[in-house]
Amino acid sequence: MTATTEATGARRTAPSRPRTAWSPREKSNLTKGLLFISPWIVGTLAFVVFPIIYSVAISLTKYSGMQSPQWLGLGNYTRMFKDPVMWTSIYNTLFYSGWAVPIGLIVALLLALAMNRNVREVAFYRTALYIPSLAPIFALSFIFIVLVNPGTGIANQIISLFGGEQRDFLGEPTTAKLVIVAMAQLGAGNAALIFLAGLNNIPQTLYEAARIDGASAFQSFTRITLPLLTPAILFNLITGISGGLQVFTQAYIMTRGGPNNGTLFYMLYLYRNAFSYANLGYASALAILLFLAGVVLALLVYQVSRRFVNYEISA
Amino acid sequence: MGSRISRTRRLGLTTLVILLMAMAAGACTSQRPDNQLLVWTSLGGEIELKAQNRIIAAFEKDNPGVKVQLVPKSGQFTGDATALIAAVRGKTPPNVYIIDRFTTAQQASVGLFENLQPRVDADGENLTDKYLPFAAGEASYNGDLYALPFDTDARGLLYNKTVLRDAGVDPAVLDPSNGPPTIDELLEIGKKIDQKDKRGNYTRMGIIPWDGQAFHATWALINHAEWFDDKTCEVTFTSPGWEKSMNDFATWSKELGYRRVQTFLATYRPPNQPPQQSPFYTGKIGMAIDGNWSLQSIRDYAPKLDYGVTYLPVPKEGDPPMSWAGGFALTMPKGAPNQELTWKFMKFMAGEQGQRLYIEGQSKLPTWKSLLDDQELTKNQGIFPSMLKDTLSRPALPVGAQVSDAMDAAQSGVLLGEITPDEALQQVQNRVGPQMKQFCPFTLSEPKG
Repeated sequence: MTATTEATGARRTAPSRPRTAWSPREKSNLTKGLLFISPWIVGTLAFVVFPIIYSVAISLTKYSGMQSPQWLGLGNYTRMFKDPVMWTSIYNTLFYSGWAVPIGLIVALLLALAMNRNVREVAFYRTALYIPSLAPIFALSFIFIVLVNPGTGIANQIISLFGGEQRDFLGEPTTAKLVIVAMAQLGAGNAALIFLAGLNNIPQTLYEAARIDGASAFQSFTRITLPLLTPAILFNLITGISGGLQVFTQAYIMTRGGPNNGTLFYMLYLYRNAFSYANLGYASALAILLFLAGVVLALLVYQVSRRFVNYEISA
Repeated sequence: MGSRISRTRRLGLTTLVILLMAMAAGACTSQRPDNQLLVWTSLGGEIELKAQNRIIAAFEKDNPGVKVQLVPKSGQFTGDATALIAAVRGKTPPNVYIIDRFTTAQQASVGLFENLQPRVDADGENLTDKYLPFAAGEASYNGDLYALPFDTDARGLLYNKTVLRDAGVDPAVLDPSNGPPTIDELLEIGKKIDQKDKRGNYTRMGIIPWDGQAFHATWALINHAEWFDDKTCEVTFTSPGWEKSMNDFATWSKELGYRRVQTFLATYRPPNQPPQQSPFYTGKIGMAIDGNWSLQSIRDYAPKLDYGVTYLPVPKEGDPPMSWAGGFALTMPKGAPNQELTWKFMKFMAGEQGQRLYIEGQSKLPTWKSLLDDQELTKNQGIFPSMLKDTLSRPALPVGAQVSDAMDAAQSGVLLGEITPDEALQQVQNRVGPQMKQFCPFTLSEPKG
């Protein structure tokens, strides 16, 4: 701990040379550097920056993608707030994120702890626990349709063992959403790998010191593991929220947004507006709102994270 | 110094090569030769693809040197035109896109298709009159033909005679010679067929009045619902016919127990079920509202099934028989290359010869009027061909996909008991009404001759 703090301190107090004019060598290096990263710069400008600006522009118009756009000003944005289906899709998306993200963090943490056991066959466990994350979402969607089938699916078989009534989980709005939340946990392997890396970065000496001081395993977990994993938790939280807001494929394949718009997630509604109804202007306005919501949530999480994320000790 | 210049040069050259390669790749848009046509089709079933290839083979034989490539393309949602929008915007559209005819007005309204009316007028062959009027109507937008009607279909009531007899019902009561059954009669027979196990789960059902083709559009047409008012240019989804349809859904859902019925359906008709195990064939469902296309499946997968076909149920005793039809149509996407040859191909495929080749050996019905009189061609389709004379179709609104999606949600909301029929219809009206207003002035007028 001391060593790490000192190292950090050393970095902070490194003498800073006053900025002078660029030397020819520095200029040359800059040019070369820029040239080397130019494919990335061109790619970002063409495929990220330009589409965002273009999207903002057409969100202010009525545009089918074919005819010339008609200027609407903020018409699409005002329409959005009066659109009950959009509010339904926001509710569905928040419901999904609100359940899937925290559960996903817990599941990923448990997986990471399991992957981190000091046993000989740990490599096998790591592979076995990570494999579900490799399966594409569309393939998992088809598997889940079978798993939750009222007649033959394993979920209903287990319920009927306890005398429960057979249910068509995908036939009701709330249970259909919960099925999609459950399905998201099969992708927890990716987040678990981040946690695993975080766990491996925690110096063993801390645990040894805690053991000597008489700390229980639970105390070690809550006082050492969790605080030192907070950077990884923050990262997984932000990527989880971002993924949660963009949930699409599962509903597209399993329920097509039904029943009664119960799984009509925001991205699915956006997609329908763009490609089924050819309302590209409105769909762009929806995309801009999603972008802003994502930015605001990320900022919020960063603000809150200052209170709980501990960067000091993690290596 | 010399080596530095050479390195800079190398770097510059590498960048140049990368840029050139990128530009070359970008410029590599495949330009189809003049003698080749690309056809996208939403009719992607194995039998349907074979039948379309028969037409293509005949066209290629009549036009030596011409090659037509058929590519199946279909979207997940009503009116999903993702691939076509991308292709048209990228200036690489196919020559022909065969679409669900019901979506023609929607796609035409946003400029995805070429207007075919000038070509029809220039040919001076009264092409529009050669198609069944409802099909030409569906293929039109604001009176102009934007698609050539291809096949069509008709809906009726299929009943499993063995199941009816087992439930103590004489199948003769549903014989089409007695005219159409009423909705109440149908549900009464259904109740006699229903069976449940000890836990109350259905093991056999008479009829599921929201399954398959028994969805909102069918019931709305049966109840003479109005979609649109030409005078006010407004959609009319709170009109009496729609109210009756949604109220019926609410009643049936309570009487039959919606959740139990859905569990029954998911049990006996799981996803990717082999067609031989369809619950109608295995006697788990006694009666179903379905279309003429199902006769082909019965011949293929349940040839020994003892079944009958009658008209769709009607609201009152003595009401005349009715049916409604859908089908597909050939469109020319905006900016399609080689339009003269494309038009020639479209007229061939959607014309008498093409439709005849398509219908032969399939459970399909033609939209080419004169082919309907050829009884040899439609001999395997029972009373369905006779229904086409007075058939109805869904009005061709430019907001067809929105109507379909909004009504799907309304229907499931009412069936689940989450919303009242009036609220559901008001939601559809509120959702689609403002969308439709954008297309006004608009009329559901007959297509030009």
